[in-house]
Amino acid sequence: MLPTIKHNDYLLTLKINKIKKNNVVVASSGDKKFIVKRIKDISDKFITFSSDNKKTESEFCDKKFPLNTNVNRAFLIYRYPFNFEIL
Amino acid sequence: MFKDFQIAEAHCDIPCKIYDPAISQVAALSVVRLIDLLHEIDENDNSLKSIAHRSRLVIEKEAQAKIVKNEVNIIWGDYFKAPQIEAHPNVHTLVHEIMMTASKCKQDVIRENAEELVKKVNEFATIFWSTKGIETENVVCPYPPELIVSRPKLDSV
Repeated sequence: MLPTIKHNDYLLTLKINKIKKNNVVVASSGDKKFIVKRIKDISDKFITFSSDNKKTESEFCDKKFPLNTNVNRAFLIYRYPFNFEIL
Repeated sequence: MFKDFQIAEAHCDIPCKIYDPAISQVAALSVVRLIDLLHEIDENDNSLKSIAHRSRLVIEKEAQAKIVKNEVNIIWGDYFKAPQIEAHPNVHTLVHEIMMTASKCKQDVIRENAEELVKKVNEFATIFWSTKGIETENVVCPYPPELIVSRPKLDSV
C-alpha cells in the first residue's frame, strides 16, 4: 500500500456499515489473516480491492469478495515516533 | 501496549512478481536457430564428431522448447487472473497452441514449426504487455535467426 501506508505503520480501524469506494480498509482474507487494501468497487454482491502500490501485484486485487466479508475502515495512520495521518 | 495489535498485510505474494516473456521469446528463437544449425550439418558425415555435434544440437533444441513451455505456463498460470483473462479471453487457446507447437518443435526439425512458435510467443508477449498498459513494437532481433520479435516500449533512464 505504498506510498499511503508503510511497513510497521499502525492503523486505527472501525467496523462501520457504510464502506465507500476509495476507503482504505482492513479486510479478513480468511485463514485468520488480514489484508490492508483500498476499496476499488462495491456492487450489489461483491467488493473488489486495489492497492496503492502499482509496482506490485496481489492475488487479492480485482478478486471478487462477497459483501459479507469482514471489512473495517481505516481512519488513522500512526507512524513511529510522532507521525499521525488521517485517511 | 502495541503487542496485541493484529497484523494486516498489504502484499500476499512473496517474492514480488517479476514476469517477462522475453525468456520464452529468446528460447523460441533458439529453437529456430538450432534447427537451422541441424540442417547445416552434412547428412552423409557419420563421423563420431558429427554425431556428437548433432546430438548436442538436438538435446539443446529439446531444452529450449521446454523452456518456452515452462515460461509461458508460469506467466499464464501465475500472472493471468480474472481481469487479464476477461480482457484477453483468447489467451487460453493461444497458450494451448504454444504448448502444441513447442511439442512439434521437439518432435521434428521443421523450421516452419519453430517460426510458428516464435510468432505465437510474440502474440503472447504482446498480450502480456498490454495487460500492464505497455505498448509493444515489432523489431528484428539483431542475431540469427533474425526474426521479428515483439518487445515492450519502455522509457529510457
